[in-house]
Amino acid sequence: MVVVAVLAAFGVAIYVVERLIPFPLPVGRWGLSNYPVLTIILCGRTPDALLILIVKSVVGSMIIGSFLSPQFIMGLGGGICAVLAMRALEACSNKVSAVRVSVTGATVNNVIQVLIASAMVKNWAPTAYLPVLLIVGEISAVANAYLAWKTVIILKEGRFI
Amino acid sequence: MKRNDLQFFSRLDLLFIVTPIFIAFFIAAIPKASEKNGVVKVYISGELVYEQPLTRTATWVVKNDGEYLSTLVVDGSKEKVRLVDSNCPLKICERTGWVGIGGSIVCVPNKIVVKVEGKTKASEIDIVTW
Repeated sequence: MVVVAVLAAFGVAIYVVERLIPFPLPVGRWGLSNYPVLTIILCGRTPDALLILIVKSVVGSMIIGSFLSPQFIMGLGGGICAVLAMRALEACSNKVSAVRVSVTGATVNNVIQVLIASAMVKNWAPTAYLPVLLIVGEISAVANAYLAWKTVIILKEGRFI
Repeated sequence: MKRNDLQFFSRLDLLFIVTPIFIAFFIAAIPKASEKNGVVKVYISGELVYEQPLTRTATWVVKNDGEYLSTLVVDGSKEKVRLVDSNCPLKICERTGWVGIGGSIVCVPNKIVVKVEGKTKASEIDIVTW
């Protein structure tokens, strides 16, 4: 439980600070705040992952001031679908690697977010954004995977989890 | 669940990395609905509310039920459009700046979509904002 709390706090902090990192498009961000979620998923604890996701989205967006905005709904919706997809991937094969889980999560997250945005404006225009998002998502997915993988090793060695 | 053997990377992962890139290129390659020489279209909540040729310089006030939302500026000589003076909180539609053929400006808070349709001269990345 302490580990979950610390990871959730990490998530909130990254969520807030991440906005300052330059992004190739006028909106969106790198998604590094999903790293705590990925870490706990790699530990095989799906309910905790959903918990961290919700805490980071709600508290983080309250700090930024985007609570219940379209951005927030898209982020949360995409995140939940990503967690479920990563869980499904783990269930399908008993041996997974960090990169595979992370890339799956990032892709599902991006696709769902764009679909939610399309549904909101009742227009397919946001899908034009998807190619760039997917490629940027790959970069941050690999970065997240490395961070999460290292964290899991540390957590396991220290018998925190 | 046993997770002591968690790997960082395995060869199968390349497949997982390459697939989204393929999807990305596939989506980018889908031809956009092309028409004559550039038409600016404004949608609110998915409904077409305004349409004009891209080559005519004009400004148009975007209103929904009498409520002021934003102002559309069309520059006929540059063949580009942009939104100015939006009443949305983040002003992302304004920061999107000038958009040419094949581009679009999306404002999720106001449910405005501005699309510039026409034959694409140079492939340009669409910028969609929320």
